Amino acid sequence: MNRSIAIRQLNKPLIHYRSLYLHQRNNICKYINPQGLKHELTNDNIQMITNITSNYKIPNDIALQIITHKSLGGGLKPHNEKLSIYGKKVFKLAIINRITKTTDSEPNLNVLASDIYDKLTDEKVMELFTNQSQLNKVMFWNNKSNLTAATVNIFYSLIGVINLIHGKAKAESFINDTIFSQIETIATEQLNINM
Amino acid sequence: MFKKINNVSTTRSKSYALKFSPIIIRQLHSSILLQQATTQKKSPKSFDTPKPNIKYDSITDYQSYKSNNIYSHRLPESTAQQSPPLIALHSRLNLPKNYSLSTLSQALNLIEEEEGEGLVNNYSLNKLGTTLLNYFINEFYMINYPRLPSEIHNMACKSLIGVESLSSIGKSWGIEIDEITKLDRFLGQENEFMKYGRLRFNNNKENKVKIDGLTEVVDSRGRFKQEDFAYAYAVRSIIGGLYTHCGEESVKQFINDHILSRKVKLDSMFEFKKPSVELINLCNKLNFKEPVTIKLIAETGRLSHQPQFLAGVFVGNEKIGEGIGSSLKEAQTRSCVNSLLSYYLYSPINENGDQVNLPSDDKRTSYKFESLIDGGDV
Repeated sequence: MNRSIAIRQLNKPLIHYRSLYLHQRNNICKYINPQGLKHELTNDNIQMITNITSNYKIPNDIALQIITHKSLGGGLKPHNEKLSIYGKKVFKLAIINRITKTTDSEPNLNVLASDIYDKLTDEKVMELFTNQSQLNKVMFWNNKSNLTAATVNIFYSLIGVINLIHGKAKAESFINDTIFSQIETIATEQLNINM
Repeated sequence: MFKKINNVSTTRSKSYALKFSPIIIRQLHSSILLQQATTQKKSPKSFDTPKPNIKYDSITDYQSYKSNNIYSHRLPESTAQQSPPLIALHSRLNLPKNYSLSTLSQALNLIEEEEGEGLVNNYSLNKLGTTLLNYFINEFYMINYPRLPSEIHNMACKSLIGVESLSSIGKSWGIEIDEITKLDRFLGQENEFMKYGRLRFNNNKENKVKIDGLTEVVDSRGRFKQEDFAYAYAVRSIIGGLYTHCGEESVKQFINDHILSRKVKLDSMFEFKKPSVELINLCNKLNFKEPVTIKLIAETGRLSHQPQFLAGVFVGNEKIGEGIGSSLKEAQTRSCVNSLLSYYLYSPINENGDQVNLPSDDKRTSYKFESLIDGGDV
């Protein structure tokens, strides 16, 4: 009796193929920044980035990624979070290389214990620089997130991208030739204000 | 073991500790937190090498920056050469000949200049070393694992250059702590120069009574002791010292040999709460036009007590991952997890099958970007 039931079960057609469809979620978010600009690759949107990197060519889609913060659409568009983490490290090392350089064989490390070094790597200074150079003129973000963090991320991710695409030496020359003097001026002003 | 002790702490003892305690002593076999009888004024979070006073001629004349303390000086090389632990450490680390012993001694000194015979401490070397480590480790992961989510990326970097790792590296290098008091040194007739090759930090040992079973911790989460921080500072400072004498290429090689040679299990760092949802979001971000489908590819022993199912994740006709489970649900979940892991742990190789170039390789060869820039995690 038991044997016949077992045989009957084996004779049942087995389900050889089963599919489970996972549906994509509907994008309610329109990918529009607080100024009402739509997140898309246009010359106007990436103009400030292409202007400052005229000697260091970067692809347009990466330029759009630089000005996109993770808060836009929950990170569904390519954003600059990791680039900014990396760019920050590149920037700090470039600043140290620049300010410790001496005519002697050994670098002068005393400057690393000074207030000017703290200011040169301070995020407030980076924010002021980004505002002055209008890198954040077009920026894609959600205004519920921190404006300072979103602004500074643009600056750092720009440096990170140049380092990745053109190498460390080019990134350092970009920092030294294009932005250092302006950052130094802002840092000195900030230091004088605090004093 | 330490974590368990942390968890069983009573609310009362926690609040007491938060209110009063600058440094916490934790008993090994009970949950009681005691306030340490100490004269130390610093808060637990502020363990740091004291910052030296600096003066300058002009604020932007960076070469003019020098110590404000007229007695501040570096250990003379002739004195450093008489310290056996220092020479042994130099040889053990296979440091280049132009890496001076006085710099190595400075890297081991965390004591304030006024308290430490006017010797320059490792504050600046530590800052330099931290920056170098941060750059080279981040560069390694950014290029070799470009799709890592930012949290995993940060954790991977921290697992290599966090306090815990650097402390264990410092201990493995055989660096000793200078715990001998002046009296003991006098009574034991130990050579005065021995201390210059040891790790020196202000651990207030004069004000402390050692009790068996009690451990002192200094960070807010109660994981690290003062000596852990001191070891980490020393390791960073030694790397900073290498930069000052030998340049960036030597530092890069040193970090490759001593830090990046330690393997990090990246796959065990991931924890997906809802793998199928995360997979859909990822595919959505990657603009896949076909829907994500999970298909049963094979099965065996469905009616037995040990069935096995093989599920695959497909986008259109492309299979992006598969997983085996003892139930259909488990197989589905494992297939989603494996698909996500295979995406995030992607590591690019160049045309010859070698590792791709790093941006800092541009001094040796002409740099060509061979990795990819990921759009970031969802």
